[in-house]
Amino acid sequence: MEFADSYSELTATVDDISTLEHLEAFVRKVVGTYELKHAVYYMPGVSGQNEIKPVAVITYPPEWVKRYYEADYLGIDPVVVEGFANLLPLDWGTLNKRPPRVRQLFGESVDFGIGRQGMTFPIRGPKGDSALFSVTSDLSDPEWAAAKKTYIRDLQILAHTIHAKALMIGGGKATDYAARLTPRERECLTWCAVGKTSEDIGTILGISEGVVRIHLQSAQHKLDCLNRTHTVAKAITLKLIFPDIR
Amino acid sequence: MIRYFQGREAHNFPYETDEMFRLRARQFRDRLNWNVKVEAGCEIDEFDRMNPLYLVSVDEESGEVAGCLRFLSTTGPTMMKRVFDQYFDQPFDIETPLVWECTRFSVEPLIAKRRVTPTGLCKTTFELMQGGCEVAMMAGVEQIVGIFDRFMVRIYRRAGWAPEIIASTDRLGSDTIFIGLWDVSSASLRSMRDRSGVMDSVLEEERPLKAVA
Repeated sequence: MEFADSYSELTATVDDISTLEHLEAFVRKVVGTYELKHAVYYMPGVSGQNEIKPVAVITYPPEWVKRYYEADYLGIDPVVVEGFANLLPLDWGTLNKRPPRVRQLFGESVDFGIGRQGMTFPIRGPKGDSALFSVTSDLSDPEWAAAKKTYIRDLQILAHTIHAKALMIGGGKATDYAARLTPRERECLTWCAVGKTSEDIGTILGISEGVVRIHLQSAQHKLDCLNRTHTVAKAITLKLIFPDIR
Repeated sequence: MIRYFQGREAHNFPYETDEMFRLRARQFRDRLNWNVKVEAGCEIDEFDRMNPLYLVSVDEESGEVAGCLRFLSTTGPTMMKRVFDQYFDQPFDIETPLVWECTRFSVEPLIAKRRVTPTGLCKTTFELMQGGCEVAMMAGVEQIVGIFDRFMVRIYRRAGWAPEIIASTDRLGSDTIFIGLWDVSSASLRSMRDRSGVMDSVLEEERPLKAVA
């Protein structure tokens, strides 16, 4: 399957992201994989003792970025105004575009080829950090509705992975992966590494398949990984699990 | 009908927000005797300042608040991590955008009496549960974890969406408190719809649009 191949390509490169250029290349790869028009990641930074600098990745044409800042759209852009720290992804189709300046913003964005559809994923991290990841597309309304259903889960995961990398690029402390995993998460990962399914692992540990899935999902998020195989590989590399001497 | 809004847009829903906090005070302090902080008749905690997503069940006839619940993403601070973690034997430090935490599920009994589904069951409960499932699906969320008492276990089970109990504790006072896990799926939604007879979306169709600039 072509799509699965592209996803594994994303998986292969995500661990190597250490600079803004890498992150940009990765975001462009996401755009290609999901046949999107554009993507934007924006993290305003975190002030205080453990300061993190703002990080932005924008695949829009530079002319549009220039126009956006010149026209001072940031202050009225409903995506930015409404999106921050929301729990629900924000479909641009549901935004109130009646105020004249907002109508102007969306009208011009279409002229600049930004895309007819858009969706913003709000990201909230454990330390009060937040960010936005937006994607745009030229799909028709019904196609877009279907695509959203299919990709929303992947894009949620990708949004948070990009955020984790951006925090690091912005000067955040390197993640202490070992400290983040719970004993249960390690156990589940170890059994996963020797080829057990969630159901098997549930039987072995005397917990349900749903609970196994939640532990593996959580481990995946904590290790900034994109799928189960990736998580297991990274856990082994980081010596967080030792499936051989189980 | 379910009206939903984020904490940061609560000022656009002053009536719903105020009534929700009052309902929570009646539910958790007065009826369940939980150790919650109530000020001026409102139960508000630190997590209400973390921009949660609220679902409020609104009575179609009177406009009254009939029930409510609160969602937080497990990628940020949650009650499970900050409040309940010391009471359970297994650390349940879940962190993923695909799992939300549900807390403060409340139903107003006086209003519930006159609100029934086509199958004669509690409409408020079904609205909150079907609505919660629908909203979670909109966000690509796959599972919901919740914290609740024994009484709610029965209610959830009867509604056709039984949480799987993954931990319990007696260390919180008189009553046993549970952590449960719900699977978010169209099958879950269908199961609830079959029982309630409420086959359409329970979410308010036209969300009041906020004026921007």
